[in-house]
Amino acid sequence: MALCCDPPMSSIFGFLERLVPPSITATSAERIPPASLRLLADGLTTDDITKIGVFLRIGKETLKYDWKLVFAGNAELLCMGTNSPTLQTSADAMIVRVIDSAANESLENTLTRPLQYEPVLDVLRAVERRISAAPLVQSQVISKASYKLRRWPANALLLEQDNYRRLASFLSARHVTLDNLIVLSNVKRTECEAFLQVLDRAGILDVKPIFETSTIVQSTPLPSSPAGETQRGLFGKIRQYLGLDRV
Amino acid sequence: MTKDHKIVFTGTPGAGKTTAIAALSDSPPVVTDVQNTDSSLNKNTTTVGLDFGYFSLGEGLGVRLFGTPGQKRFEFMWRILATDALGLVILIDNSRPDPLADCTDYLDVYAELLPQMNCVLGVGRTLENPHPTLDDYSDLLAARELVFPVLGVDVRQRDDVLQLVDAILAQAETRI
Repeated sequence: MALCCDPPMSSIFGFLERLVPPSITATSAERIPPASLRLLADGLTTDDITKIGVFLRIGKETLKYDWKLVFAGNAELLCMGTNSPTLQTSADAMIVRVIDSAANESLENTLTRPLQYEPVLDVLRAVERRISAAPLVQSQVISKASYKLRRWPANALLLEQDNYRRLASFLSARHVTLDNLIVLSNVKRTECEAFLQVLDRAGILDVKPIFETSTIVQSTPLPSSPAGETQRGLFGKIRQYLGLDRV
Repeated sequence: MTKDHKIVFTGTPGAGKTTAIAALSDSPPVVTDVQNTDSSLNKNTTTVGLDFGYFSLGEGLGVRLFGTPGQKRFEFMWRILATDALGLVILIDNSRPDPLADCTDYLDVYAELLPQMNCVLGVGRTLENPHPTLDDYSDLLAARELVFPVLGVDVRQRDDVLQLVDAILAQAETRI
């Protein structure tokens, strides 16, 4: 039974964290949905994992987001079977412990075995509510990386906002920092940040951290050279002539 | 001496290459259309050489617009025209019998150029022919590890043609 899929190799929230090698490898090459959340299983029994997989499938229609069961990497929900997590995940992930029914049932943020459909769905909905109400990604974090699309996004995702299609074009050819994206697209920072977040959730954003000493990725916006300036001038003239500079 | 750049429009017969060039060109494009004798094409004329348009930016700068002949027997010209282009616009007519196969043909022909090229895929007649979807085309690109914009277009609308150029410029600007 195919329950899992690849987590993104990196994400906005956790690109500086090294991923722990997955204990279970991906067995399905399912199509990436436009937006998804991840449930990270850590230290759960095979029975727990099987049930969660089934619940995710059954509950698909009633949940706001598509959920993916992952076994490493970043996630919005960490379900752990032990007292302390053995895997690293997003710092802001919601953590739920799965305990035996004989154990202390009064603990908060726990699910008891055998896992039941409704309590698990309640947890998923709680995470969805939190995600929906979450503020935008912190600028100081995501400005220290550059971004590129892994694939062209689903059309439904691009139709969510007027500028998403344009922003995606800028992310399709090369890795671009947030600052560069803002300058090149002339789109507001908040909208650029939101778009990166949406792409990250969809698992189609490649994130490269920028280190101070890196010579590969420039962190300063639009590094200039005489040839680059000439080209930039040409593109500006084309935009001006065609009326594409009034975005 | 003038410094010109070129944008190449390629794609299936009837996809609207000539129309797209006309939407951007300063003057009516030079066309090499002849009476169509191919019964599989639902049009009176078809391009057998290449289309050419131009817009001037002043100060000796300009952009040449080339349209490739759509029929596959002219594919030797497709790559020649696209070499050193500022961008490549691939136009696919979604009303044709197998538009994904059409698209695959173009991806094959340009396979060597595409990873470094500013490219956009414009899919026409999607309202009347919703399948394959734009996502199907995106999947096709993803299977080849290609990432470039896939846009639904009506090339009779100048704004749609401008969106194609905008997508080309967006990629070009990040490659500076």
